[in-house]
Amino acid sequence: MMQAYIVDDREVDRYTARRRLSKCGRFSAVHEAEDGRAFLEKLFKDVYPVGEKGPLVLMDISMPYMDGFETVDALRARMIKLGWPDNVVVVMVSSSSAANDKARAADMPLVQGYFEKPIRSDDVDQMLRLMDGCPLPG
Amino acid sequence: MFSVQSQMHQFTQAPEKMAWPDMINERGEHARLQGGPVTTFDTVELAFELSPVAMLLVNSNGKICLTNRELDKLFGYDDGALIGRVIETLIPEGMREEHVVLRDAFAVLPAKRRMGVDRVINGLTATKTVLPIELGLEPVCLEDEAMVIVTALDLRARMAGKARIGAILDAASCAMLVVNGEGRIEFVNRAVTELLGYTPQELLGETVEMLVPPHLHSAHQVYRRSFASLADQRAMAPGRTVCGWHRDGYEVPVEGSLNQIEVDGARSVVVTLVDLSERIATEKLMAERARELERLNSDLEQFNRCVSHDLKAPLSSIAGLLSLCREDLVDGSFDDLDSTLTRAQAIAERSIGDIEELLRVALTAERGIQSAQVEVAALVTQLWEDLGGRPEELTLTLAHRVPFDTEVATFRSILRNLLSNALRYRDPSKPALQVEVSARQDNTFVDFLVTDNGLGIPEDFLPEVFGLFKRLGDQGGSGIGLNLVQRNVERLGGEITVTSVLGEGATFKVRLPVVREQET
Repeated sequence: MMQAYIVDDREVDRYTARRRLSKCGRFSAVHEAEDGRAFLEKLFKDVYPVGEKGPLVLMDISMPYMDGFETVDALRARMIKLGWPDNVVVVMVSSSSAANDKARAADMPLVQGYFEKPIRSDDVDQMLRLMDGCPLPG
Repeated sequence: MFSVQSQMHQFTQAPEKMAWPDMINERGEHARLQGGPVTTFDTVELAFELSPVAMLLVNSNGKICLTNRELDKLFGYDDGALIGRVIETLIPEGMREEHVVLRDAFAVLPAKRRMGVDRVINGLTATKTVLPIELGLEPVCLEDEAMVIVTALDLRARMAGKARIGAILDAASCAMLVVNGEGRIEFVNRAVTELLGYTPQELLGETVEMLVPPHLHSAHQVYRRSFASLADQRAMAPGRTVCGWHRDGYEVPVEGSLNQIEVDGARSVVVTLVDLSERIATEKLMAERARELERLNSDLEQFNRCVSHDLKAPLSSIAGLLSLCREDLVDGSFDDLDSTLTRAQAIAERSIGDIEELLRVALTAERGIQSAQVEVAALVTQLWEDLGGRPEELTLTLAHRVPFDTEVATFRSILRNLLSNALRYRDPSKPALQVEVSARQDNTFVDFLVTDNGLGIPEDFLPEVFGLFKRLGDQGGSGIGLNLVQRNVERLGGEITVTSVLGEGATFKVRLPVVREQET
């Protein structure tokens, strides 16, 4: 089992993503955050069972305060500083199909994928394959 | 010319040095110069014949005693025809009487007059045409009689040349002036009047500082002198942007170039001034246009982001919700179906309002809106009802002066957006929403305040609140509302500010200028 975070300022999109992730039955917990700051606060407070993969983070791009890219940069900076969690898989989930947004996402070491909204069941399958390809934290 | 002058010198050395009264004896007769050369009429006649310059000899009564062929030709008379006539024959009628007086005065206290000082005198020819000439006067004592040798120089060619040069310089599009060694203006062309307002008559003979802004006068005098002292007579100052001083007392930006010239041993400076006010105005306009374009581009970029996110996002959300519904239907699980469809419907309805708002942003910039009288209380109440607010949630405290005139559509849009925000960002943890619209006024401003007890705005989001497509949280809206409000308030010449305490609510203050006509 794994944990997932949905970071999105649109409640309806968090709802859709949550239901999609729930359907696959692979997640022990699905957390929601409505902006980058709330997400970072939550992530570093939560406890992860030893030997569990992930967490998986579905990151929206356009959000108030900090956009998705800024949030990922801040996350990476904290991971480097604190040394944990060392196995976060981030995928961008956005309604933007702009090439520059995709290119920017591809340049980020933490970001493993880019999905356009709305996410479908195929997208969730692909995210799970990403997670399965990851080594166990150790 | 030179040889004649040296010949003539024989008769002329003395009078220059000696005072004339010494040469008059007790009987009032002119005495022969003591120790001077003896000159005879024959010698003078010979000199006249050899001279290429027009000459005549006149006695103290103004009678012409001798002319040479050059002079007869110059004035259009037959050889010797002038002999025996008074000198005033050769002077235009209007000046004759005055000349007799001058001539008598000259006879008492004669003074040599050299040529080359550019003193133009009008002569009169046999055919009664006026002839510009320059005269040299040489008092001599000839066979015991005081006489004057007059040399006349035809200035027609020189004046025609000057006029031609003047016409050419007048045709030049840039202003030109010639300044002599003392800093006085010797020549100006017509463009100077267009540029600096002065006529040539007002400038000729004045110091050039007249055309320099007053606070630069002293500095300019120093520059002028140091420029004049440069060894190179062709010294030239390249074009520099400086300020001229207009006759009406304002500065004119010009590009000034200086060229030093030497004519007949005297140095002058030719000043060329090119009017820069148009160029500077054009540059300013171009810069403004560039900034405007930049602003439009940045708006367009934001518009694109808005379309790709804020308008596309609701459709993506709806698509996502509908795909869940279909799967639920296929699975035969109907529990969430109604709530999921209701969500989709709500998003679709909100999007309609957002698109209308976006179009309004694009359109208000283009069309002008007429000012009219506004019943603020009725307008606010109606808007509140239209937006779905309950009457008991709204309080009005309006103390502005009536009638209140403004662009109705613009003002309505401002209020509609502020009221809609108050509804949208209500705090569900509080028992009731309270919105107060108040107005107060002094002689300069009228303030409209919209205060709510909603969620409030986080302090660090306050500076961004009026940014295009900034949107807080998930309360719907396109992120255009407050930007539109700000634009509309600015359109009415006012300003909007916001204060808020997170968790307590927010107050938006719209300050509009009081239009003077309303008071009278």
